Amino acid sequence: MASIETALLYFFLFVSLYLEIFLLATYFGRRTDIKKEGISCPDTLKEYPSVTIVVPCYNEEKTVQKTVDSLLAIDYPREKLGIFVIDDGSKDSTWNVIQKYRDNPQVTIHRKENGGKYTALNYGIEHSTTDFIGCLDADSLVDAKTLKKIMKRFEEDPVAMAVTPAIRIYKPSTIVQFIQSTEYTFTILIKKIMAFLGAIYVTPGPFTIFKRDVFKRIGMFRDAHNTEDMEIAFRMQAHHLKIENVHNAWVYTVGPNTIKKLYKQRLRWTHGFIENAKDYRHLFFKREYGNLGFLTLPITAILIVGVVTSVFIFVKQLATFLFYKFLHVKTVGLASVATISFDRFNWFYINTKLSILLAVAIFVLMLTIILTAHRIVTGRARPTKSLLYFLVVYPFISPLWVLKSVYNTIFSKKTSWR
Amino acid sequence: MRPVNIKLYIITFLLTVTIFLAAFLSSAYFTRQRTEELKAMEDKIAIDILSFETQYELLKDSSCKTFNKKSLREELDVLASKLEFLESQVGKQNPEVFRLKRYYSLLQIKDYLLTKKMSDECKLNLVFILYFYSDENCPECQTQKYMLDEISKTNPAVEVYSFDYELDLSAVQTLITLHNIPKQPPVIDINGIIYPPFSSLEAMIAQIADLTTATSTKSTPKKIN
Repeated sequence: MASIETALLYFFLFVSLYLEIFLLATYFGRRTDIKKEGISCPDTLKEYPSVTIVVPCYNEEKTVQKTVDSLLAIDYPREKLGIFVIDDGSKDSTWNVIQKYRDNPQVTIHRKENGGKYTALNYGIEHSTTDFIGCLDADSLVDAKTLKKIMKRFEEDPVAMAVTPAIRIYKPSTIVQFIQSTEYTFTILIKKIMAFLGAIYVTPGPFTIFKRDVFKRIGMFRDAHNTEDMEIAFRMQAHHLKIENVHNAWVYTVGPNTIKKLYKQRLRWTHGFIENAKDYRHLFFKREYGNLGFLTLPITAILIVGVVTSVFIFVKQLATFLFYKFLHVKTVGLASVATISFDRFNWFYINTKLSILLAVAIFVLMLTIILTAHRIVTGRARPTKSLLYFLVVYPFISPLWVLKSVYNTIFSKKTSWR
Repeated sequence: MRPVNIKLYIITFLLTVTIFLAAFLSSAYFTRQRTEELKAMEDKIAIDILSFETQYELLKDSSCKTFNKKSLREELDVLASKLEFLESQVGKQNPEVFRLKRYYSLLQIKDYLLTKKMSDECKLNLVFILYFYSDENCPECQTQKYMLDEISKTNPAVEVYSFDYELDLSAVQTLITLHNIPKQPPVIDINGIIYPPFSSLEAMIAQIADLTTATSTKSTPKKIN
């Protein structure tokens, strides 16, 4: 049993190390491209195609106004940008709040029976006529230049069928939001690398812009285990439709401010990944699906199993440790056990097991990726308060939703939106 | 769909294997360093014991003045602690650890014989505990070890020597035979009397206190360092 545990542990450490090296190698190979893209800030486009942004809302009375206002402030010809605010049967005063845009020529407000986010998105797509359609979650804000940057990418790359932005946390104020701030910054670089590899598997709700042709060719959004933005990306990849990314097209989203809310959100995402990966399992290890089939999907799946296995190994070891500590205290008393022996502060007692040294290597590479991402996003690569929170707290909370997601998958339980 | 760049996959694989190997070699290097340190410690203790034995032969009775029990004991304790840590790092089956453990047990026996001889000669009133444990199927061994560690820490008149019952070392097996140690560890031999596992630290302390009192009424200790 112990040897199986050890073999599994080394396998997961190897896979983690492999993934990090692969990401860094890809980054260093394309570093110049990223720098060039970061500097360019298109003031003009050859053409300004018409775009509709669909804002699905369900009980968003507190945030929807800011979201719509940020869309109205976008630097793009007004006559070319339409905003559809779809109230998906909210029970709060969302409908009343959005009435203030009733007379705005750029904004169209709609109300429908509650059917879930994907139905609101489809409703918006069906009622729009533009060649480009975007969506924006009602808890997110768009930077004024973002749409131009994204449309520039479509102009430069006519094959691109969808372009994803770079999402950041809006004004983090709680520890949970600071943790997400580093996580989102890290994800910006990962998304960019994934775009280079053609392996993006999420077109996020906050401001991904699609060509209308996407929906004509592969159909509309689906329920998809409450992760419609993931499923459409899987479907696009399955149909070889290119997804691009602009790493400096900023969109700000309000991150969950408590662990409980974060847990619910991540449970939905992780469970959504597992279910969608199951539905699209035919993409795995097929050369025709490129790096998505060969690298991203298999490694993410392996790492999910790795997290579950590591948690079991960790809990088992912790239980053994605590059992013997308890036995020790029970036998000789707390005072004796709690006495610190300074003899142990000696290099001899530094743990240099292979697994520990590999974990250190993985940590160093992870830190390199995070600091690189920081430099790309903020122009500086220095440690921050958010990074500290992320490193200390995230490893302990993230296994919770991974475990529950796997549990939900095994026992066919569904996740909820909120 | 961007094509799979097999070259990148292979290079990444080779880099990963390189880091794995570097970590493996570093880990092995640190283990080797530790093993060397323990070997050196064992050799030093062996020389110290041999040196004192020789001194004893030369000086006979006056050797009580030069016998430094504390120093030898401390060295053996540090060695035991480091050996235990090394065992947790590389596993009990590691041949180097196994060899060091055998050597350590031998040194313990040498120290036991020497200290016992000096205790008798110099009237030191020491209590000698020989503890036989097993790493397998011995649920009570851990609690007995905790108790003995505590007593050894708090009572300088008690000398504790721990032996792995299963250890393939003729000197240990001879000790087992000579002291009529039963086959079911944990076994605690206090001054030649075999006791079943103690139910509490207090019970063990009381038993040792009885023996200490009994011994001290019989003799007056000579001065030692």
